[in-house]
Amino acid sequence: MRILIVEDEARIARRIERMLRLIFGESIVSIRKEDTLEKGQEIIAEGNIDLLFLDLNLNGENGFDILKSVLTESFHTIIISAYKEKAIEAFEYGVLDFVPKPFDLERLSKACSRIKDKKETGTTTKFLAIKKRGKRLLLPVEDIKYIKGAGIYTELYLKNGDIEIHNKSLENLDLILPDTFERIHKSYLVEMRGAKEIRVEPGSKYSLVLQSDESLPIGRTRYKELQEKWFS
Amino acid sequence: MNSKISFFLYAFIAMLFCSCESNEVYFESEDQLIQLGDSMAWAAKDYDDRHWVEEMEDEYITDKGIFWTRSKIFIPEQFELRNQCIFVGATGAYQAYWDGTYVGANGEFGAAGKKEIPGTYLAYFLVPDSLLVPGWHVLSLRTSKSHEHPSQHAYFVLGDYFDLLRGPVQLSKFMFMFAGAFLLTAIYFFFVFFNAPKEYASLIFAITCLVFCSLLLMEYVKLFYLYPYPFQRTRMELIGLFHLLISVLVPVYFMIQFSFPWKKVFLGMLLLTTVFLQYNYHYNFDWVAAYHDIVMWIFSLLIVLYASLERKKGALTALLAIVFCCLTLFYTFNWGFKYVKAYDIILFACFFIVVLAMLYVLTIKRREERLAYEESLVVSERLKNELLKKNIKPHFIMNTLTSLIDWIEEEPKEGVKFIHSLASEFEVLNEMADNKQVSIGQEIKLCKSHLQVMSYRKEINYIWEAYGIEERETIPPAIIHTIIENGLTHSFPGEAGSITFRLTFTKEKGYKEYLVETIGQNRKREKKSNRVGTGLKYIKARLQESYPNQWELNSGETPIGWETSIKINTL
Repeated sequence: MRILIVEDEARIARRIERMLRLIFGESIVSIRKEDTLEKGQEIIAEGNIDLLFLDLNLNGENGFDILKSVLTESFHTIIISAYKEKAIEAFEYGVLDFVPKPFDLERLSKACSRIKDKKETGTTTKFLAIKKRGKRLLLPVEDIKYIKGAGIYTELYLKNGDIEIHNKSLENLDLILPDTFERIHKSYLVEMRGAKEIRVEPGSKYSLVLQSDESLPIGRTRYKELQEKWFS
Repeated sequence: MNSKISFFLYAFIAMLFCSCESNEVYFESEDQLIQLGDSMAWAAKDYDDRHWVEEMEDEYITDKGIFWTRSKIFIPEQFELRNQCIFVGATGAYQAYWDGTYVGANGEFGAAGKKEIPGTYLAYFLVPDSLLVPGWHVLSLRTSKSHEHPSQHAYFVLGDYFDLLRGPVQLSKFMFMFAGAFLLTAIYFFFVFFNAPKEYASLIFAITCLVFCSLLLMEYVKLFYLYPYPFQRTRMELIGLFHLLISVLVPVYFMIQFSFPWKKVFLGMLLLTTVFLQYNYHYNFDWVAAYHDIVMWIFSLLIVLYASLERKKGALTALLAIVFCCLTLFYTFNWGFKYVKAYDIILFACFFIVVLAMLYVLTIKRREERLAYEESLVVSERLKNELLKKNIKPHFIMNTLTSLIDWIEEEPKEGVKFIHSLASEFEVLNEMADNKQVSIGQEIKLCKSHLQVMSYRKEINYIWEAYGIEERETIPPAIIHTIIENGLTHSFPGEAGSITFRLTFTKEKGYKEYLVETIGQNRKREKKSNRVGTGLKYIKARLQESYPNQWELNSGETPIGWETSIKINTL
């Protein structure tokens, strides 16, 4: 695991690093610390990180501008900040967790565990940050019909018919999107409120029919769970 | 309750109208013929006086023994032929004859080594009913005059005896009501001034009201107090002086209240004009008074017009009041009104309106001042709040606590030192919070403890230097501390591995200056941010609170880092 810590308080950055080494142990490939966003972004641009720890107030700069820019990236972001009241907003933008200062090892472990354990608490992400023609946009989660995995990135199929590209993998998106998104296939994540029925097709193939009459394949192993959870 | 109010209302209305009696018929004249010398034959109605002169310079009649004046008086048909009285305004000691018949005396001649006993300026003589016949009559005055000035300018009114006695008193009644209002206002604003000696507008207003009151009393004293004629001169001089004072005071008042920019120039012009008028026209009491009034109106009008254009509060009301008064006076200037000129009544009504306008401006001004004062209290409270909040802002306290936990977990002994520095910063800040000024020593203590706290957090070596500090100096709390905070945010250690903060104090004639230099590398500032940081806002508000408009704050990049200077005018 390659970790970047962007924190302008030297002592706190060292504390985070020490704790992460305890939490992840040998799975850590590298930990880098930066005290300005500028340098942090240089490293992000190199594209070699898996997890970002970000302070929202870096030398007086507003952390939210920063946040929007990193959320388009493929890695997960965990906020460590003194401004607890910003937590709800941060979650809406799709961060993995928000750790308020002061924190201890236990709290940090809990945040890191979210990377492994799926949705133990449910998320409140309301926007996905995407890049479109070089600009960053916040796309309301409710506009998404379903998401199709395409290797390291994903395609977001929107209700208005548009298709947008996101840099996070289907697995990573599944972690931050609300419970109404269900993984129905290894390549599909669907907003279930838009689903109409399950159709059984010849050859015991199953597919999910959406209200727009599009049909998407359901993974064999997932059919039963899906049927019980959403259509019983 | 209601009946009481209506009683007073009726009483008031009755009072207003009881002087307006109907069907009054008067005869008024100012014409007379004069002859030096003495002969009882000159009293006769039929005496041929065609060779007498209409006017004689004062110097030819003063102390020149007896002289006679004859005035023609006409009794029309509709005149009531009983109870008639002659009301004479003249200067001298005299005996009065109606068609050759002696009707009374006023004062005593100064003949045969005896001093003259001056007659009163105004006198009343009953005319016997038997002599009241429609047609022309002659009033002859056998006069001596030992006091020069005022000139032998006489006037006569023939009318009902009781009307002539009552009428002037009725008229004076209203004028004294005005005078009373002016007097009370004057007293009130003198009190206001004594309690707030810097409010010169209140003083000027009080003096103006007092002068108005005096002028009214002096002007109308003649209608009910029969004074010896030499006092007439004194009285007219006093009236002239009061008009002069008013012509200066009213414009000065408006200049102060509306913060007129060219005060000195205007005051100079005003004084020059006034002195010129006084010097040139002092011999004619009526003219000089009228000229002073005109000067007052013109200057006030200009000032108030300027203030209205500048949209000063209350200026428009004052402008309307003055324009109204000017127009009224202009169109009624020559109106007559019984025993006085209409001008003398309307002028005071106008003065009253002007005083009302001045009062209105004053109240508006006071309300503004009160609001400004309340605002300043709010600002002070807010600044105090901001000061206290500095150390409980989540960014400061949570980061500090997180670092502190870390120090305690990793190096408990250092952690304890950290706690001591933090305690020291809190302590100083708490001591300061209630004060608008603190000693420079206290401020430096605050900065040092803050730097210590920050060095534990950031693990950077901060160096504090201070030069030229004078322990007795005071400054608003936490302003240098705020500059240091900004420095901490926007700098990082250069190759030296440390950041130095250098405070230099200089005191020159006219100003003192605090210079804070941050020696280190500047971080790139956000390009977009044009906003003034909250820190700078706090410093500016604090400076404005302690030194209104007498300070300067400059901040900028230098080759070695950043510098911020606070300059305070001390002149």
